[in-house]
Amino acid sequence: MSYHAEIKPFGENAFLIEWSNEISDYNHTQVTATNKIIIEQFNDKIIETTPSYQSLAIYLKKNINTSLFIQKISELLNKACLSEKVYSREVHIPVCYDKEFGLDLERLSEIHNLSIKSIIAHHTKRIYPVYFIGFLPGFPYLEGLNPMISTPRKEKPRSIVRAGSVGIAGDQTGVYPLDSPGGWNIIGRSPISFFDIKKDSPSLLKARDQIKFFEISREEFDTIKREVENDSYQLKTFSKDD
Amino acid sequence: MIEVIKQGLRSSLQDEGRFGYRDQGVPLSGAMDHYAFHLGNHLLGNEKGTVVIEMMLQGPELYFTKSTYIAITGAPFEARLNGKAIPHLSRVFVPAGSNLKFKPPKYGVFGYIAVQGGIKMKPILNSLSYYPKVADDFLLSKGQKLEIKQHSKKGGSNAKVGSQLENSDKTIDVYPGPEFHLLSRENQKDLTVANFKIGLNSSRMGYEIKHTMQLQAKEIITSPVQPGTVQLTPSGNLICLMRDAQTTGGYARVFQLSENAINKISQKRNGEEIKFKICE
Repeated sequence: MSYHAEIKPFGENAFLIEWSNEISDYNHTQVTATNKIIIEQFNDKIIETTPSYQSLAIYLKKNINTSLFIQKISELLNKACLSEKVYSREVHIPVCYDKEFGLDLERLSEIHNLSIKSIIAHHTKRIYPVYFIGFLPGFPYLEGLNPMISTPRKEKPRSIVRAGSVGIAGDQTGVYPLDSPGGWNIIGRSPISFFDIKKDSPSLLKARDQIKFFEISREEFDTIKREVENDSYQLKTFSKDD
Repeated sequence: MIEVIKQGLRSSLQDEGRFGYRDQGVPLSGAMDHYAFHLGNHLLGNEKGTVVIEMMLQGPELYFTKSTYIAITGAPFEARLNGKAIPHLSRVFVPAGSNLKFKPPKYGVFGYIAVQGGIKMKPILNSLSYYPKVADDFLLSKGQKLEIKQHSKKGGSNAKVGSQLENSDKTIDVYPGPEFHLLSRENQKDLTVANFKIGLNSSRMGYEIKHTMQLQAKEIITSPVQPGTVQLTPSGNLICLMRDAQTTGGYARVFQLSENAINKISQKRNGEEIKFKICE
């Protein structure tokens, strides 16, 4: 596979690998596969990496010569054969779309002239790839919202949106991993924990996951919430690695 | 033990930062002025990266139940130990039963109290740096008791050292950011010749950089940002991201500060002038 990426310095001890200026599955595959190769091969030279839609930041240890390292990386990437298959698992996320949590559901129903039931159906039907985690701890950037329910951000953000809230902003859907101010249209809430500092890897979702939302009742929300608190909830995940 | 009598203005524990979790959206955090942070530990012979207390404009009041050595660095807070002035940028003996208070500094923003051996607490995601909602334990609170960690090696330095804080020096060294070349020629020039001012809307997350020019840049596809990234919004606002910066952002990244410039700008107050200089 030919390699269409540009390498740009990003301060003293970092650089970016950037692909074409668009959000696409192709770019996501490139970012994810390149990230994997760099972490595997240069673990001793890098502090960490941050993947995003079409750009990958590599943060180098202080004693590493950035320009020499960049040279090495470009040689490697020119030879690398990037795999097409990037998804590792499918995660099923329970969401309660009850009025109590779906604060903006009625408004969305009016805006789109769709019943609440069909908004929920559109939201739960698709599988959303996690492109990357960014912005806030554990916040997943998901792709693939049905355009029929895409809705601009609220003009006036809420001063607090509760952790677990599921929302829509423009053509994106996502969940708030922590309580936070926010302008997304909130359509429901998940009882599971998306960011847990007690875990070695605190973010539930990872860049190579795909997620599917499924509807639960208000009673099931409470049951699952209790199970999550006792650490007995079994999240439904399906491995995609052979 | 160190008991927090008054917490001051968002005084917190900070180390070098929370590395290894940026791909999970967790900001780096860590001391705002790394130069002052390292200096304090160096003066005490502490291991590099030992946690310190960071104070902002208004320091805490602390009571030491045990004797130890401390070093005050960063912004020149006037420190008083049992009512008597103690020197800045030096190793100072603190007898058991001492009370430590501060008067706000005449210039600068962040001061550091390094303690010989450091503070013993359970790290959160491998770091003792405060960050809201992820590591709240490390924000100082009234009545909190901080255990002093046993110092393993002898030493420290009685050397007199200079401060890096030159109040009058307004030059901030930067590298062109990933979107710098997308700006108009005129805007590129404006950014490198004009004088800017630090705005009121500044915090550990980012500093507002005020100006009176017509600057503009298109939003970008959400991409990585780091401490020291200077963002330009479509409406012309400039923001210099600081240690608690988010990990990705959607505004044009026009500059990236040098490591030392991040330390320097962190000590600039609301209304202070700065000037960007591109280093080659």
